[in-house]
Amino acid sequence: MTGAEPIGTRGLILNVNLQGFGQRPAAWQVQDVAPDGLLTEAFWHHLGRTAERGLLDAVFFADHPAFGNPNPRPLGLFEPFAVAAAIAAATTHLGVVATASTTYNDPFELAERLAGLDALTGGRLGWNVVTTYSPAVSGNFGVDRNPDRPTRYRRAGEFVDLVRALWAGARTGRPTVHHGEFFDLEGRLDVPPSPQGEPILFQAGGSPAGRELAARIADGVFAVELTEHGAREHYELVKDRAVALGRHREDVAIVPGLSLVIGSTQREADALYDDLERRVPDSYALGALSGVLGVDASTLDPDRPIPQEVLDRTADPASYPTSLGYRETFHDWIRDHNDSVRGVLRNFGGYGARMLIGTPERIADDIEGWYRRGAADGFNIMLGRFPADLEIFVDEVVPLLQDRGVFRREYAETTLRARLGAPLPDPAVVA
Amino acid sequence: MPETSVLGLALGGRAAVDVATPGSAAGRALARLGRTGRLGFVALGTERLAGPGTGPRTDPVGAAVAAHALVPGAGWLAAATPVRDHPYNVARRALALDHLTGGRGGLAVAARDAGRPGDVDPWTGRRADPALLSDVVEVLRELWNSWPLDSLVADRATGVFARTERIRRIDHDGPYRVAGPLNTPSSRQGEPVLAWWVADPGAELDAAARAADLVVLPAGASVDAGRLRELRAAHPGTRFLALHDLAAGDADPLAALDAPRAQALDGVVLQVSEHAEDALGRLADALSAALDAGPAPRSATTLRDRLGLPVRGIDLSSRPPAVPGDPLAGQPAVSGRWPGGPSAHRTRQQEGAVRA
Repeated sequence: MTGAEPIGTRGLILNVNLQGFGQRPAAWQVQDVAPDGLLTEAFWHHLGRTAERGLLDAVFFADHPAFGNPNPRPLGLFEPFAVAAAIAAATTHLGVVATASTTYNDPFELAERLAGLDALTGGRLGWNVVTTYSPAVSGNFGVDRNPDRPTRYRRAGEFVDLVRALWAGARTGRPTVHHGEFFDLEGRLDVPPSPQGEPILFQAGGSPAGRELAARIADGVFAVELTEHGAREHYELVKDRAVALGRHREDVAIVPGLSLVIGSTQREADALYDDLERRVPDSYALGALSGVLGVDASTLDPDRPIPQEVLDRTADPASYPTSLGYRETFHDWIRDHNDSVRGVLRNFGGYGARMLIGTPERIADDIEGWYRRGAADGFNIMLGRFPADLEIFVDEVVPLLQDRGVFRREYAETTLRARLGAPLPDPAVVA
Repeated sequence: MPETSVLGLALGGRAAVDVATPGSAAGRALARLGRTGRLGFVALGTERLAGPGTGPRTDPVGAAVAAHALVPGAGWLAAATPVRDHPYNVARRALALDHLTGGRGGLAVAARDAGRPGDVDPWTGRRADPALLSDVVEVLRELWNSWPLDSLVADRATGVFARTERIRRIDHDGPYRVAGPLNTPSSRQGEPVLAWWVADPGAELDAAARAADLVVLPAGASVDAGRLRELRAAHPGTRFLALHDLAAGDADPLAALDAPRAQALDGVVLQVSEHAEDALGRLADALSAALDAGPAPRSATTLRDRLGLPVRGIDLSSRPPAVPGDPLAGQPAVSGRWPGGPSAHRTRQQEGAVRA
């Protein structure tokens, strides 16, 4: 039976997704924060140094190139590579991975900027490749609606291939000549060399097209997995597909999201979570659930399970407006738990990742268990409150994982590529 | 004419890369130059704003974010052009830089970039030229004004993080169509500082003076005194600076500081593209030794204040609000069947019976 990679080669990957004051919407209400705290360098420097103290692989930044209502939760107030540069300036080993959409960027400009930033950070940069499905974004770029899913993924594939060709050309000195469906250019980057050759690529997008792109080009995958059996299935799917495309299983790391609320006892963790949730209007979680179901969740009976006919509505992959990957795993999770709608609202986390509310021991058990049973190569951790829960995670959870022999006790390398064990793409093949 | 004589530094190519590299000798030389107290601002990535645009290129915003602590009082401008770079993305990066430097950030822009392939903008299909740059600057400024900083209240009593009534879409309809708002609150200094690197004074001066805080003339260019008076009268908040190449071998680096005064300009921007450690070191030595190197910039908390630039803004009150009505609005209405809300319920998952 295939399972997790042998422990001791790479080890467990732990990234932390830096989500402003915290993953929970009310996180700013339970900490002593200044209204403009998220806009200060000091806030981000502290998070970076704490993550590095905890020997985490990298910090991660999502992106949303559009306004989002800062009530109840302010999020994504900075362009992510700018704040990634701030984190890198305050650290020496920590990786920095940031998201940029292939739908609303230009491949030459992005390749040039990311190569420059990679060299500046000493080879610690990663790019999380996404396409944009949020309807809030297109109007900022003069477009009435986002391209449909098949178009977005064709553009993404061509975009990434072109960026990689440009990065390879910077190393070999050969100009890139590209005439494709979406892009036409002939040129060459002039950028300083990076100790890791070129940025690491992550991919986030759990649709079939997203998984195909991941298997082909990604060094790491930010998956959304709400159930372990689903996670193992997708783990094998992507790894097998990568091998079929000429890569090795260990070349693509599967890193699902995991949202944590940590307490020194289970009761304390539950109380902290309940306190966070009661400060936020119910409409927020209802809105998130409505989004994934495609119906107004407030019309459902709160004390009964989600009606089967709502779950059975098929999603047209070309036009489903949010994440197909999330929808798939959410349906798996609903089938496993058979909760009332009220229970679903409390426990599904609402915001795109599995929720775990518990003690450091319970959290370490969960992380180690998924890792050893072949459901993940690591996790993209989301924390209820920043900086408080990052400090707790570093001080309480990391030592448990170290003691169990699955997580490093020191950084053995300085580049993100060396840390992940990701091979450099062969310039002869790419260009 | 303003009293302050501005001294700016334009670092491009190898010089920009080296200065931003942690622990570098070039960085230390810049810090030493900064300690003379004379430096108004540093612009990074300026190789792309004029001439052949050759590198090597760093990421100007990233480099400024990384290097700004070298000269804590100065301003930091990141170079940007509209070539293959959409103004929504440029606006976000610039305002992030501005916040991360505590209100000392901005952009140095030019119409073209000879180092990037092609000059047709992929978003508008238009040729990159000063007219397109004017539209870009208007978009940038509108976006920078779309979310007022003082809307952030973090009021725990009401659960309101920001008072959203004054956050506005921009609905810009020029060559660029941009809805807005920006997802970044506005600058402590009102707007980031904007410097326009002029390539062709004959063609661009009016547009540059109208759009920018700082108009930077190419090295060796001169502007007729009457023309300059006209421009100043029309745009009293704008400052006019001249580029000057600072080579490592310059026997008298301070000579460059005199030229703008002779032309009734407001200061000089010294341009360095390589051997930064030497060039900046010599300049630092010369400034430290000089008894009269001109008036020093005011000690100030923002770049705009340091350079004596007026605060400016754009009134967007006639544009549509981004969040209609109540600050906590925009969420679906909750029915009466939710007494206590979903958070009041605990399921068997919490009792520990989790099925994998």
